[in-house]
Amino acid sequence: MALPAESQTRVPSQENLLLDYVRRLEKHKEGRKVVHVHLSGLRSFNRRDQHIRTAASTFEPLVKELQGQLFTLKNADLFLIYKSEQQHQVVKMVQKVKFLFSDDPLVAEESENNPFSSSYDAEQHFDDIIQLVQGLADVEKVKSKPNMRARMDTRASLKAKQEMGEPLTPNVLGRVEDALSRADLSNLVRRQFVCALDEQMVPEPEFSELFISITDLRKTLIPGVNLLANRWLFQHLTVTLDRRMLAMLTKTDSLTISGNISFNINVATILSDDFQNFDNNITAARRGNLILEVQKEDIFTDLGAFLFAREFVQAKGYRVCLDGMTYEAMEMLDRERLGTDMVKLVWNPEMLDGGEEVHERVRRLVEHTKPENVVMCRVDNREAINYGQTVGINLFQGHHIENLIAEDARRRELLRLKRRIERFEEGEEFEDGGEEMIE
Amino acid sequence: MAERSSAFSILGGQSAEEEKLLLNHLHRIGVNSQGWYAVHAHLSGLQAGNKQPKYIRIATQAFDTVTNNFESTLYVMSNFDMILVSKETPIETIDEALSTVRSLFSEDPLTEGEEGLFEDRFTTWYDLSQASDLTAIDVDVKFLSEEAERLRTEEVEERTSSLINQMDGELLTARNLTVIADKLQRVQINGLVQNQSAIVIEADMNGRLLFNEHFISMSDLQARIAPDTNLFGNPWLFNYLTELLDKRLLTVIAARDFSVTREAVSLNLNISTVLGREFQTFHRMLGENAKNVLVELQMVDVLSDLSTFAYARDSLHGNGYRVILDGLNPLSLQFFDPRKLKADFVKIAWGREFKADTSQTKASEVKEIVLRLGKDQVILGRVDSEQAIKWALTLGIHRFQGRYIDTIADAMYVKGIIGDR
Repeated sequence: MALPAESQTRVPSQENLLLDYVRRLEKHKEGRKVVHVHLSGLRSFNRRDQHIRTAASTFEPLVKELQGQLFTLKNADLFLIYKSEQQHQVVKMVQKVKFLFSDDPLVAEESENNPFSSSYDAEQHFDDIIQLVQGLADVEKVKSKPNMRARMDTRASLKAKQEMGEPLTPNVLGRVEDALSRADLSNLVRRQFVCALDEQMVPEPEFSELFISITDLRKTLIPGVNLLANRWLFQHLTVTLDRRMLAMLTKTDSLTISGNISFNINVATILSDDFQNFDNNITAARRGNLILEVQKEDIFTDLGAFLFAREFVQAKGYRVCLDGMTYEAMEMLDRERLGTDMVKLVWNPEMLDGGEEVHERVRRLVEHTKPENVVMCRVDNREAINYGQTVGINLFQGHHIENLIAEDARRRELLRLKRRIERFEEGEEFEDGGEEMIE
Repeated sequence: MAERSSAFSILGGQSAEEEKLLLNHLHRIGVNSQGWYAVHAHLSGLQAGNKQPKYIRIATQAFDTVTNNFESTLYVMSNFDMILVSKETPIETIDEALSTVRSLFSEDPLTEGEEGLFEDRFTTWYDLSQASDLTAIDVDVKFLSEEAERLRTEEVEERTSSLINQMDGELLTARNLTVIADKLQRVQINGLVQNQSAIVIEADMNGRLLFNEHFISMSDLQARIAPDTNLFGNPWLFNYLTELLDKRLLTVIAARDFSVTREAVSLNLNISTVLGREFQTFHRMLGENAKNVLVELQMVDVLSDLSTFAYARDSLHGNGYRVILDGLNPLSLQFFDPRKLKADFVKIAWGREFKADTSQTKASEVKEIVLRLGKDQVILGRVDSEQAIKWALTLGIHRFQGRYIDTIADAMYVKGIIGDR
């Protein structure tokens, strides 16, 4: 295609090129006009690539004669900047495009509020134009992220595949289980905090999740095997991990844990003797500090078993958290009826990309579930927190939160040092170890 | 706990030991029955799925406070009934324990109805200081004891009637799965593929074939490759097996000549299979006939990754297949709404919840769900009686599958109403 719109690659985007072009136009706006054809308003079946290409090609003669510049935006809108003397020509061309889509409601139901195209005089309406173009570029900037992210994710998953090794087979699984039953896993236990955040992004821990690091487990115990390659086999492996975790939690000296703790558990494990033993060995008061995290697919494998188990542990004082939820799953499942105390919503940038409609849906879900019962987990960056806060979420968990905790600890440590120095300079007695660093 | 676990190893109709101990206890009470009473909790009336030793064992813990602090003893009968014998124990503490047990089984129709009502199906109270009550419970327990003996003798026969989840043999583990998976790759699968018809009953009460579900008979497969292993014992490892089976089944079905049979076929597959290479091959061989193939996806599989499901569904639809959601029952339908999943059909297993003897609220809830789904979307599966069909027709459900339907379908084949399978 000879069209600049098509010949240019997508990086940088048409939107950005347009913005750049319009900025340069400022000095040459005299005798220029702009037409914005709102093809984004077409029904999707009329908005296929070939349709838009045909529409764009209508303006090709102008572009070839250097009488105009055309931009085809991601949303299918066309943007033509042309010399005023071509006005007559352009009106005809726009009519031609309109004719192409005459069966579409965009044309059939055209109104003042919903025009097929809008025209501007570059000199008179320059500010409007630049504002409009800026807006289009901003929207596109937000939208283009998923594509980039998807590419990075594919790359990341390929990389993971190379790094993680061969897929798990039943044979290897058997060996892993044997190894797990003998190995001391306490050094593989990780702790991640679920925190409320105040306006200064200072984290306030609510509870912490204890889990066995799968990455480290793989590295130390079974290098070269991808434990996550088959989800059913992995799910089976988690039953073994449950048992080991319960054993470690029973021996409180092997894990010094304080505060409210959550951990993953299968429904089948809750109903097993291992859990009975665990439960018999902890004090009744401790149960109130424990949150059992259950996966949704586990719940629906045997709903009757889950309902029984949930009732059983809640009556004893434990809390139950529904783990691994997406907002779509939250919409579909009746959490209230399932009777779990909390829900963990996994952060996924798609929520952000879904636009206002999705935001509203998530906001409603959070409101309905009550913010104090919703944790956004796998929070890897600031973006996730910003998003969570706009939809009413207060509780967060993930790498980024761990970073914030570390940052906060450093800040406090510095503050402490500063105070010490100040006191020292004031000639006060130097107290050693008088204050403890806050965890 | 150790003491208890030995007592509970007899759960499940293996011995009438507890019944005998209780009878002895009752006889001793007969000497001086002042202050004694008993409560009989009829857990034998629970639905089959809830009558599991591990549940009952957990439920007995509700009585720990009572038995530890008062002169009370709990007996668990072979049929899972519980009988608590108490002397001068505050009724409130027992109420509390019973209410805990009730809440554990709160989804079971047995526990519906208000506590303390005259016709409470859940509990019966006996004032043992009254001779008539003492006799009544004595008779009841003797009956239970006989029943336990009978159960024990019948057990062997029952076990052989390999019902789902009750297959015999040792549990499936990662260890024996290796051997089984290996055998599975080599076993001749053709002979193990069975089919079951789903039919539509039209307004004039004539039947029409909806599709034939093709599946690998698990009991036959078990007999062939793993006679000593219960393939259903471990849900996660079983699912892994089904992934292997999917690939074998696709090969068998693809080899069939679809151009000669006009009838639709349904296949139960994992989502991972649908997105895999084997399915692409299958699709190439099928060509135009994709419109005659319905793919059944399991609810658990769908829920575990909704976005992958959506992708698989769209790609199936795009290629001309129809999609059925399988693995639903009246209970699970109360917890989520499958409409958002945009499948062509939803298969709901006929269960006790549908039957007339359930309370009005439960039945109407189920009705509401079916109506909400749209009656033309629903296929009632596991239909085992005419009663099921009659009931479903009143709701407007016209699509059926199950053992009872097999006999109807067979008759339809004989009469030539529907063609060859």
